Amino acid sequence: MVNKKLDEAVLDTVLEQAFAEAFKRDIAKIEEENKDMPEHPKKYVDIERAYYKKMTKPKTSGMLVFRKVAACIMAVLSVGFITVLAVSDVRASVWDSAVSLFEKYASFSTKTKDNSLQLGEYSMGYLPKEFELTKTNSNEYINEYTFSNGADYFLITEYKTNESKIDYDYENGEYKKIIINGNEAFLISYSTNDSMIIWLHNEKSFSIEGTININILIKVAENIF
Amino acid sequence: MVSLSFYLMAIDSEEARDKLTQIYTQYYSTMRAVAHRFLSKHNSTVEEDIVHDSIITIINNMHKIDMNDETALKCFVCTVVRHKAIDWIRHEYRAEYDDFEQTAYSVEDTDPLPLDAIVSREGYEIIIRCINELSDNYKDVCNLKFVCKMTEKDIASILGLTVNNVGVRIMRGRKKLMAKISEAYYGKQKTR
Repeated sequence: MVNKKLDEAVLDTVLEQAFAEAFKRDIAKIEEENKDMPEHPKKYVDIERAYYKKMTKPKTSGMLVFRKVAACIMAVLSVGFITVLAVSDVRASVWDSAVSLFEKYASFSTKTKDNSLQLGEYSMGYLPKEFELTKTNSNEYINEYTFSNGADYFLITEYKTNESKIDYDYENGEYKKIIINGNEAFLISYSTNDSMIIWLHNEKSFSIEGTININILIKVAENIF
Repeated sequence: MVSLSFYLMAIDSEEARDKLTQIYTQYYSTMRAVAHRFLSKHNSTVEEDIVHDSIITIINNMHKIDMNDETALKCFVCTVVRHKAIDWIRHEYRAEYDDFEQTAYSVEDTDPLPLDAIVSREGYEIIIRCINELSDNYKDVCNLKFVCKMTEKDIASILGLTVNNVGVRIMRGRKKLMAKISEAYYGKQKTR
């Protein structure tokens, strides 16, 4: 041969074939000599693959999914709550609702405590702290109950009437209409720090007057059933 | 016997796991046989360890294997096992392989190439016989080079050698083979 590069290429091609052939013969001989060599049992392959998949399967337990869903819900609720509270009207409304809920809860708890009181046909569900019944005056037409804590007092009066409307002289005072347990009532404030609430219910006239805070007075009135 | 699932855990892709499953089921007994051939004289209890080491090497070089070429695949697997077995023997019984480097340097150039010898059927059989007589150190790199058609870089990473060392082994192995072929063919012709 003249071209040495061509000679090399031919030689490499022949060597590729020859090495492959030599290898095949060699391995065939080895395999023949070692027929008894243990084979990997094919029936185990599927089992081992399945075992591998089981061992490496990512764990998506129910608890994990639940946590993710709960986290998403909490995030959405938080964003929504913050957005809603950004509006001042909504914020005020929420505050009012919270206050009324608190008051409801407070009145409920008062009723269940020992300081609830029976006043003739009616029961008094709310008695301000440290106040106690100090005087009672009753006859055929009128029942009066006086409560005091030593410094302040309030008087509950219940009397029968055939009137369908309230007539009262509120001289030296200012009045405004309020609603007590669904009945129209008058709240009268005097310059002497006395206050009074009057309303009609079942042909009876009720009044509460005293030196206590107006809000407490209203609360007492609302808790007479 | 180490479980297949143990090896599968070391592999990331599903494709590679399929490859290993195929190799493991198809060639496990052949790998044991190759290891047995080299180690039976010394210590047959390490055969399984050698196969285990070989499978780890195969896993690490999985991407270099052409699964469609059955001969190349089998050659790759067996060469890795053989190399591991020889490495173990060299480490445990150093004397048996001490003469390797000296004999390597004693190879001389043969010019011209013995093409007359290799183009005939008779010459082809002589080549195969000469290949079988070749030292295992040359045979391993030449198998990966000529049968598996791997680059010197890939061969180096599989056998744990440097790229230069692989290049030198291929060159020397080839020269040694040419010398053997020339000697066998022309020597034979002269006797006729």
